[in-house]
Amino acid sequence: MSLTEAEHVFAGPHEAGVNDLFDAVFSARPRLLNYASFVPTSVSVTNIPPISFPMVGAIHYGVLFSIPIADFHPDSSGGMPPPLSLGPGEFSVRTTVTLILFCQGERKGRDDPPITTHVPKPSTSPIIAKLEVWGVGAPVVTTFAPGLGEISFRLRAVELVDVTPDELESLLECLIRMLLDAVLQQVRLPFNSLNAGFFQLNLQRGPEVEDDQAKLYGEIV
Amino acid sequence: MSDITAAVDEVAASTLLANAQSLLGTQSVSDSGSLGPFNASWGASAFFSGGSIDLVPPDIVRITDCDLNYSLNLTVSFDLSSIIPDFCLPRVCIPTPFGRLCTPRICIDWPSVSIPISFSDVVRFTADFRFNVFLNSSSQWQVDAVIVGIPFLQLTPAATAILAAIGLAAAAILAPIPFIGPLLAGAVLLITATIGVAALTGWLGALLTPFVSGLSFTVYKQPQLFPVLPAAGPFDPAVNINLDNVAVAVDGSGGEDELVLTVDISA
Repeated sequence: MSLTEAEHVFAGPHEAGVNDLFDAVFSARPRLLNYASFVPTSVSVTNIPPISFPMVGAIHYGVLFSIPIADFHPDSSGGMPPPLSLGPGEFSVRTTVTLILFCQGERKGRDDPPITTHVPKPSTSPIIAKLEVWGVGAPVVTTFAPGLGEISFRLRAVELVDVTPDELESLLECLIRMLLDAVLQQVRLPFNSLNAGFFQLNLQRGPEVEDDQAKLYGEIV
Repeated sequence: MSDITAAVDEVAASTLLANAQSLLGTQSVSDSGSLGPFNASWGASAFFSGGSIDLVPPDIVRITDCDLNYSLNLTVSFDLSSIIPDFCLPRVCIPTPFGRLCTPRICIDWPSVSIPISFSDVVRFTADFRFNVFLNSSSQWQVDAVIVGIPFLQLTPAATAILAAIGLAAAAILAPIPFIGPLLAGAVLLITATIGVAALTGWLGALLTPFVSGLSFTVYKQPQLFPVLPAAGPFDPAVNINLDNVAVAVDGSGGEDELVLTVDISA
């Protein structure tokens, strides 16, 4: 079978190329990976509002992801945890998430002085938890006009490793899936970057994820 | 496997060729020299259009029936005396009662004339091209399809047409010159015969061959530091990737001949 098949042009970024694109995007814009309520927005971090709770005030926290590593169908990631499985047309992604919480009003021991205020200040030593995350999903295409479009990535499931009990794991997986899905949605790769500017693609078919590639078919505008 | 693979079939390659032809635009040359026994100065401009692509593995792109559209501004100048003998009215003396009266000897020195000719035509040719991939001086990856050899240009019909145009232009210029009415037809014939189709064909070949000799069409040109995303505010700088290597080949292993571009990238 030819590369272009029934269409006239073909663009097929390999998973390694997409990971290079991820590296480029997230290295230039690390704030897409890092979110915190206790620092202002910069190139490195995106500011998010703290959690507000009665009698506590602002609960400051942060969520930091490492640069995700994608693997296109078929699975060659080597170690995707069950029950996740990579179906045809899907990609997997693995990353780490670091959750940061500034715990407030905590007494170190029974003999510590009692809390005397209802508006405690953030502690200076946050609690940090780092988790390994795996997810699976599929690319999503958006076209604006003939020759203009982009690809983003959406997650359908996430698996955390070694979290117990199961209910807590499910809760965290739901939370992390929403957050990581939001991160990946912000990575929008223009068609032009997927064929290194060889031609202006008028997409007619795809992306079809197979053979470790995201395959796009169409014609030249 | 390369980080990025992109391929076009022969239909899409023809579109790329049309784009490359537009990019190449119109080229011009001008010069002067001799055309047979005559002096000539000329300016020529040419552009390419049309043609269909035949991809031939592993590395040939054959462009069939590519049109070389050219326009000539040719001025042929010559001394009329060199082809028409100077004309002299002899001295005539008549005896009169007042003595001999003689007319002066009158000689006509034929002038030099210039014949301007504008001529446009199309020469269709077929040629093979190979790819040249290189990093140019502007740090851009460039893929040129470079012509292999010099194609045969069928110029005889054009030369015949130019010769006819010269004949018509010469007739128009010579007509007002006095005393040579009977010689006009002969002079025009003499001019055109002296130049000759063979001479014009050779001259046209010498003039037009440089347009196709070394002809190259740029089918790919992108900066080595390739822009992925433009800057989008103070906290979202531009995103670029490095194009580390670019290669191009004609592949027919899938049952259809395709032009395949492979690129290795890094963040």
